[in-house]
Amino acid sequence: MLVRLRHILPVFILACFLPGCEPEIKQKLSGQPFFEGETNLDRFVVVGGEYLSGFTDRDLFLSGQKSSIGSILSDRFRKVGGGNFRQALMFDERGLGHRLKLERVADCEGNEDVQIQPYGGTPDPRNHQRIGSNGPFSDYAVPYARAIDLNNTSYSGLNTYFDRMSSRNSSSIMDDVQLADPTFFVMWAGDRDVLGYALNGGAAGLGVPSISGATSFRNAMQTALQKLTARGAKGVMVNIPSLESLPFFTTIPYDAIVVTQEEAERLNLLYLTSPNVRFKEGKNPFVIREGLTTRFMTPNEYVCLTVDPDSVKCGGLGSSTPLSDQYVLTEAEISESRAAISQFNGIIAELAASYQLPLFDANAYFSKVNRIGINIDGIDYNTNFITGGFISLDGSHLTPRGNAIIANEIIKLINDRFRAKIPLTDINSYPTVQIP
Amino acid sequence: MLSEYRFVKFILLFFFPLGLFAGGFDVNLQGIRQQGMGHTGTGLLQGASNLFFNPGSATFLKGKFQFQGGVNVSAFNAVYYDPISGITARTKDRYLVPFTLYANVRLYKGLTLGMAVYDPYGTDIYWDDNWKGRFLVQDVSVKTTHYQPTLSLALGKKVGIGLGFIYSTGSAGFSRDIPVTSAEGARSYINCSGSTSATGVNAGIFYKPTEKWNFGISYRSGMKYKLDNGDVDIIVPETFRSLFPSNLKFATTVPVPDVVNFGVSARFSKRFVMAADVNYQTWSVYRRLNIDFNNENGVISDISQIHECRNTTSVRIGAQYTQSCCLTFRAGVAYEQSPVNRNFYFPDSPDSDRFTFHGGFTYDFDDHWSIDLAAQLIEGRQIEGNYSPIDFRGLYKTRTIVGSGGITYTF
Repeated sequence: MLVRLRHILPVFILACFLPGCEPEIKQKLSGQPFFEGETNLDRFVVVGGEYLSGFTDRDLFLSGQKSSIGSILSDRFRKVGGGNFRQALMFDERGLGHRLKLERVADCEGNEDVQIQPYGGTPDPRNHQRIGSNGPFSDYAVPYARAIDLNNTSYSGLNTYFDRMSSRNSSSIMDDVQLADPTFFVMWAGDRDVLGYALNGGAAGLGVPSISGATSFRNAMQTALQKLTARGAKGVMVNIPSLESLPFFTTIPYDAIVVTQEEAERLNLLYLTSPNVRFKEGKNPFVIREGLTTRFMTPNEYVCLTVDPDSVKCGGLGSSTPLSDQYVLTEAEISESRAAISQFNGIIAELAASYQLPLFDANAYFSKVNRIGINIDGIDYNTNFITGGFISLDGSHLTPRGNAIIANEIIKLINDRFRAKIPLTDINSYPTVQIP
Repeated sequence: MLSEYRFVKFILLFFFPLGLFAGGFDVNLQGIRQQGMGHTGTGLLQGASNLFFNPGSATFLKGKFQFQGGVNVSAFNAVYYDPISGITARTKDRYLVPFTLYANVRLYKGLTLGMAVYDPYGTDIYWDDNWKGRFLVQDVSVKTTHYQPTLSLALGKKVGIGLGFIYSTGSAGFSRDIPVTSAEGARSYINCSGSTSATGVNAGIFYKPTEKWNFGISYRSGMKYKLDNGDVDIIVPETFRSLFPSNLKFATTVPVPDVVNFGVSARFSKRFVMAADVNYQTWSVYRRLNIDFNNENGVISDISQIHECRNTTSVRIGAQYTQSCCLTFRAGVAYEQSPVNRNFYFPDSPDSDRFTFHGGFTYDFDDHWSIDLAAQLIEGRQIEGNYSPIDFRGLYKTRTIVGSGGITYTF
């Protein structure tokens, strides 16, 4: 009898520790759960400006590029047989040296506070070197490129981000895109045609472009689409988000100047010739100079995020010294920008329809994140500056997590319109704003 | 000149569901012999462990003194699969080691006094690091131990009644990530933990009209674990640290259900016995989990997490065959309903209706000493769960493997 016991005992002990005992999901085991449908993802290309490029915290740098919308999409496309995604990657995290970060520093009043600071350090010199000979690339999302720049054959001389990756000096962005011979594309272009103006406070001239003309916008977009689709490529178009969904405009209240009675009286002496500027105790609007006029801001105007908080707190900026035009989007500039966004989005929608391309309505999606917020995997996102998780430190471009959220929306659209089943990405594997 | 605005105005209102207890934490490992035959035992005499299964039966145990002690090693594994992203996550290997100690002594002819110590609820789950749901739950551990002094009285030769008082200790710990990306790359998370106690009763009636047929009914009361001073640790980047009160505490109450068991056994021959049990548990008492933080400052708001559990019924059947003087084999199967609501399915308690398969044997060294061994496979059915308030959905499947060993002493 004891012999038998010795035979049975090891079975019981083994049973607890056997490998391969882990449970499995049936669907996962049964064949290929994902497929590319009616898409051909062999050579996937993105075309446009900052939003697709991974531009975040005011610059383009290595980790941002690797978590760009284009990069995330291509990673998912590879799960259904998509090809490689070639990027003109930066060599470090400093890009062209414009990157921002959050840092705890003492403000002008000596209080330690979290402030937006330059990222610091010297960028790798190779970030400025031309690597166009490594092309053609898959990633032709070029920061600051407007729709009307896409077909410009002298553009590499005007934009460092394109210059470092262009195949030739005389090559336009779309020329290089054609070299890549796309089979599928995402085009998110045209935003800079308006936002380049608005994000600079509408201070046209002084190196700031004015809003693109509607006719040249339409022609440029149409030419670009012809080149993209000439060899039968399909793709997705994306439109332009609205101003009010960007914390660049909505973070600083128009009436952030708080003064005592005494200070108010002293300030009013400075503005005797400006009848509109009358400070009182408590909250007051910023004082701005618009052309020759000095006046209080109205509640319908935006203060740009580029205003230096220390100068406001201690240097009298916006109170004893009026804000200059580049820091304020006035009512006239806002309505001009809004009209252009709506006109351009109309053109984008019309072209998407005529080329039979699905359109991702980024304008509506950003508005939804702004107005009601979204919740994914238990986390709330909105367009609040820093804490919203969606928009980066520059106040207008997406965080890597924001890129992943948009990439998933684009995949849902592709799955729906091209009868594909491309897996979504795990957005939680991409960071939001980095908190010190 | 003063200006009121700051660039960075931190107001964090965490969406904050927390789970600490649910039906997946049910541990049905209260006797090695019973476990070998499907965890049946409300209507069957097996030894001192009857103090748990049916306090009314302990008076009918043979001898003046009985003892049973056992240790279980339970390996739980869960897998999560999101069919939309193809993402899989698993729980890490953790071993739960519930134990049982039972002693029963005859005071008078028909009256016994017993002491039962057992772990009725417990869990230890740790999801993969960086898994998709880490902002809902990263890990959770629960341990409860019941201490149950019990009197059992025979009313004549056919009916026994018993009553046990339960004093229970419970401890739980839970952590989840906080959606803050640290510049240093460190994980931001919150950890809640605490321990408390609860009281209840376990009562039963045992009826043995013949030597062949035995019947039993037992009832364990629902209990409430009330926790007033749970510890909260919050690990966040330095910038956010000052936002959280340093001595944050939480209070909560977690109910466990009433349990009613019906059991029957039939001794078809000297060697062959079959038993069946039905357990009914009122898990619907667990509707929502409320967590109150003692120090509200807008950063952490109180939580009310919906569970809406359902009442469950489990059906068990088992058999035992004594081959010779010394060796008894057992086998059993059970179908256990899960209390989880698939519309409020939270990954802190991955669970589903499950089939369980049991086997075991006893080797008797002599008239007093025996060794008991058992093994069990708990196969959860694949379930599509969704925590609908935030639409966190996916497919879940669980499997548990248990190995158990113990000794029985009768005098």
